[in-house]
Amino acid sequence: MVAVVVDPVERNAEVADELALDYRILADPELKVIDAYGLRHERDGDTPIARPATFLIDAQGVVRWRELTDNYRLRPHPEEILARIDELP
Amino acid sequence: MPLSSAGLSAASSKLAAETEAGKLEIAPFTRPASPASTQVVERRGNLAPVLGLVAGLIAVVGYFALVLRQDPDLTSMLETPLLFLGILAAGVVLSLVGLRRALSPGGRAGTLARGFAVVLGVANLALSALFCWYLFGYSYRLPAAVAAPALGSPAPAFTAADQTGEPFDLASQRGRNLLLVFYRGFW
Repeated sequence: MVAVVVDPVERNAEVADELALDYRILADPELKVIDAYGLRHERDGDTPIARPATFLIDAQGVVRWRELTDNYRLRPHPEEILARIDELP
Repeated sequence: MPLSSAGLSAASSKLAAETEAGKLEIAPFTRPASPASTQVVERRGNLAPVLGLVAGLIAVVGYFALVLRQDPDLTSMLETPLLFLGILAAGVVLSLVGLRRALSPGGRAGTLARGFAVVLGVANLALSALFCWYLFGYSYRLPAAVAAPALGSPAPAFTAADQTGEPFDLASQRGRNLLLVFYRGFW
């Protein structure tokens, strides 16, 4: 698993440390990756961020599952993600 | 006897003279004791708006405190915030009861107490409305992800630095499955 976020490398290092995260968090302050995936969320008078999204990419680099929530409070549950991973060949 | 001002004045002088002479005893005026139930109602009238606002604050502060705890075992309480909405609803009912009492004519509450009740009631109604707007309005305000890669399409290539500054290239993941998660950030 890797995560992508607009925060800079230093901030991601702090967050990974504070929350004891053992996966890679990629910094995307210029929203290059976020735009490549069409996830830019412009906010009035505030810095743009990514809308939350989850993609499952298979060994051939093909998107096999995605979850684009319509409510940023609601994210896919770990059980659901694990079930989707199990469905992959 | 016809009542005239002269007669009244004469009666009053006679009464004063008799009182002074100790012939007439006048019992001191005592207010009849108000029944206990009236006092209880009055107290509740002041308590409802206070309890209403307290309930509203517990619901809202409790919700965001739970968000900040980031406990995966408690996320269902946030996704379906029935507990917090229940507390919020109880607070709204109390505030409405308090406002009704404060704004209804009659009753013994003074202007200050009524004003206090109205301020607390309105504050809680505003807080509750704001919280509901956050839950059911604001959090849905996301742009449509029309340009997001569709199922079955190749994942767009990218390279980005991880938290140690090490670059990550999506192409390097060929041959293994990858879960790619986008966060809003600004932690």
